[in-house]
Amino acid sequence: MDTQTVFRNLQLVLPEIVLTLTILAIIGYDLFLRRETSHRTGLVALVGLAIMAVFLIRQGTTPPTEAFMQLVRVDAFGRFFKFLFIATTALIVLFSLHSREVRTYKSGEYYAILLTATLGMCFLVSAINFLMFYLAIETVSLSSYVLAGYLKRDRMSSEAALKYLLYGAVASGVMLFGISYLFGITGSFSMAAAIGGISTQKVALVALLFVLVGFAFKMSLAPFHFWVPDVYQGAPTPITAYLAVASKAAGFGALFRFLLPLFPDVEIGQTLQGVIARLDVRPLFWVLAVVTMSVGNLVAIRQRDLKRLLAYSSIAHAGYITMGLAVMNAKALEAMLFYFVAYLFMNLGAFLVAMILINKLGSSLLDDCKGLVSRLPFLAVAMAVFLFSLTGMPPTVGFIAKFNIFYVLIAQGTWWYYSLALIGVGNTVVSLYYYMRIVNAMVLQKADVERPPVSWSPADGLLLLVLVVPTIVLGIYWSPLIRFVTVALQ
Amino acid sequence: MIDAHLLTLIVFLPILGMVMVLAIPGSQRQLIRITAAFFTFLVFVLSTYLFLVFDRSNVQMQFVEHYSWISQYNIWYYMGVDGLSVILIFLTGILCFIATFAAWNIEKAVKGYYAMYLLLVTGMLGVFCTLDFFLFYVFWEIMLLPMYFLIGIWGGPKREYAAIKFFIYTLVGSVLILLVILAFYFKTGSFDMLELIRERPFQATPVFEKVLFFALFIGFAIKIPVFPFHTWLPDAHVEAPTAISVILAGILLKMGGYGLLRISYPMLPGAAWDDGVRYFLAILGLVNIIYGALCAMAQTDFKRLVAYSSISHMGFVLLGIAVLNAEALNGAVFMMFSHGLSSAMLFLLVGVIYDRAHHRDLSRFGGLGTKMPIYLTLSIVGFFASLGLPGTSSFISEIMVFLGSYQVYLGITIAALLGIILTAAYILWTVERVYLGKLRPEFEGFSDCSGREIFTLVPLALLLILFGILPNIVLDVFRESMQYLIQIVTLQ
Repeated sequence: MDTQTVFRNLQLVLPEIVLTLTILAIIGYDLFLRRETSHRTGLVALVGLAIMAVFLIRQGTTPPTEAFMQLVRVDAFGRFFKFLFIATTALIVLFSLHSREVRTYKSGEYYAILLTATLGMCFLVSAINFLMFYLAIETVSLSSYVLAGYLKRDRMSSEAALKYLLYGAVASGVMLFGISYLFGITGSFSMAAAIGGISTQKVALVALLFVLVGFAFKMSLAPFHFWVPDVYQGAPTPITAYLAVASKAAGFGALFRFLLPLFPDVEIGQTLQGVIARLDVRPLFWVLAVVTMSVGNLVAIRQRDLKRLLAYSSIAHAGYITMGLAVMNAKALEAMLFYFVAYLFMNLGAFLVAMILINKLGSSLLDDCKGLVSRLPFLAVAMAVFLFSLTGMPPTVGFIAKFNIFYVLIAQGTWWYYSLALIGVGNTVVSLYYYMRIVNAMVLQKADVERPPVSWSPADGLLLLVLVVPTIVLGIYWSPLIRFVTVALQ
Repeated sequence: MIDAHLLTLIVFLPILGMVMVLAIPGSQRQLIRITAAFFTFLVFVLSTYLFLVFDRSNVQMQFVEHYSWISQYNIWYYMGVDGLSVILIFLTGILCFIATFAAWNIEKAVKGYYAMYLLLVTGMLGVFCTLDFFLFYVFWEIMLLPMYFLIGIWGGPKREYAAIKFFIYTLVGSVLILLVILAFYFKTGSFDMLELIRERPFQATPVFEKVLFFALFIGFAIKIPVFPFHTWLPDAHVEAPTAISVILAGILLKMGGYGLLRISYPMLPGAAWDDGVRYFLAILGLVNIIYGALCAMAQTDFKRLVAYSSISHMGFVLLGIAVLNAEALNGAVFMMFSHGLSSAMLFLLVGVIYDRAHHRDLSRFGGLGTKMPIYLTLSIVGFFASLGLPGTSSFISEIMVFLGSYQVYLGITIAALLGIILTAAYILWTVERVYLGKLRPEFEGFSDCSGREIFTLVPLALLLILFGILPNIVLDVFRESMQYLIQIVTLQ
């Protein structure tokens, strides 16, 4: 590689470079300046993310390019996820600035680690080579372990970090084993070559399964979901939200990138038309989707802690999205991408409510939420909106997202997919029950004991509004969102 | 000018009212009530206007509004009404206005109550007005949310259970409807109901058409409600506040029948006109009539009794729809209308006594007629209208259903006549237990109906008698539309 190529390649990752510089700036700021008000590093992070977004938008005109000797691919598909990560991270930074849990600790490194995880995700969804892919996924994982255990004096948080680390290490070990097999078969780390290799050699299917374990862990698909409830409950709430939205989206994004050659009518990167007939992984995802949403929804029914309940609900949502993978065509991909955007708003919103509750009441138990509507009316109403959206009721964006997924299922027109749609619909009804348990506690029930009124700051309301408004508005007029998603597939 | 956007105006005025109500401070209770009453009055006036200016001889959709909404999905903001929608909108206009006053004595979170109530009104009117399948579903669900809160917050002691039961039952129904909507959309790429009616996309695949028909039927049957999907109804009615029972029985139960006639029958005519399917639905109607009446007879709770009588009456609607000839169908639709008035009146009557006695146990009433003469008079009108006494609109509708079904299903008709006897039995027995006999000492201090209660009850009583003597005022509105519907369904 001559210098000129290097520079050209570096230009392609300018947004990521901005992010890296931001991380360094945060560390520098924390080390040398104003140690006592280290929360200002959060503002530095926000500025950095804004600049990154500008560079990402400017990149919009460049044609899809493979860079750094086919390690990463810079294209609209990756940009879609990067925008998603920037939006999520920016919101998580805002949450963290507002979170009592996080603020009790000196937090210079907190934002640096958060952005490092985001950096890893950005590379994860652009990687087309297993080497790059593994480096990226480990960057995300290691940062996430630290963030999950960030509340050093909280035993739950430490437990969460340890569990996450153990599960994560096993999952990534298994995945690495699978990758080594694939390398042995194809003699290359290229993902496209791996898919080609799998289709010709049956033994490679085993390798594929091993690799999928790593993905399933990140996407929290059953039966690789066991870490989710404990980690989500123990981690600081903003980090829980981050894991539930950004980390999950990154896992799905990377899996899409890996499997894109198998989508018959999607032309991003290499398409391997001949392979599809020989390698049909859709039944696998059919099963994963059914198991994941059923486990998530059924176990959620009995939860008494809001964060834990939302953890199971987010498992169920991973299952709904996986239904799209069981179809595997361009329409399904569009529906899944759409779902991520909807999921961002409604799920972050639900976790934000959990965070505010912990700020105000010091607990996220459902029993403590009783009669909340009389003390924090706007919070209860906002939560109801998020929960209706998570259930998939119109007029919220969650309905449109589910509508799209069910549409691609019905459009397949075979009984396998009709039955999948029916199972999905049944799951939706189950989910209504436990989502309504929250509304029931907040709105319909009265508090057992007289509790003092809680203060309400404008920042709470503003943050909630930022998420409530799109949840409703995009449920009534979602044409812009369709355009945003279709751009990603060009 | 107003005609071009009349339907939009009718549907979204309550939303405007909701915003106004939310803007008023919660302590200004009277102002909130008056605002809500003002907006429901406007809806009432506009729906009456619609009822009067609607062209009865024209079977095409009228007052059509058609704008693109989400072009990528081919979703339109498409509104329009035919005779069937017009009388149900008219009914909604009447009952919503009256129910606003029935809730006047609610003191708990008045602002929240009327905000939810007005949202509910928009949802109901939207369902009757829209001609876009997607929009239909949106309104259908919008109706659900406020109902959950209205029962759950302002209901009786077991309100949480009743609210979630209502919600889950209805959601099961609506997701089935959603799957069918998706199947239609996939087949035709359109949500346009009229286009779907013209195209009959599933006529070539009769088995699949029947599957879709039954999926839709379950969705609508839960709303009607048809045995065995009815168990949410008594619970919801018993726990709901009086005004919400009025809306529930008067309008929400009509959604199922409306859905069958607007969607299931014209869009899936092959399944609807299948002899086996028709017979099956007729049997279900009969079961509803008999089972509802028998259950009503066994109740000791006044409101539960009225709820079961609704189930029984909706059986006539289902029977009339299943028979599907001109007499029976017009009878069924007229039944929907007159049952809307009579059941609303019965729930209001129960509310009157509950406000005084604070219980609804039939065995603990007696002799109220001597203490409350006005109440007695109005009750007699209400109960006899529900019983189907000649001179009330229920009589006309029942007779029409029987005239129609007699020509097709003789056995079922005779069995259904038994239902009439059972109805007479439980209603007369109720009248006897509540109003006749010796006055119990604990009712000594009861006052007769207040001005507000008379104001809510008298219009319903007058309308029931008026439409019993001059049924053509209402029948003319939908006769042509129903004739057209029969043409569509029977044209194979």
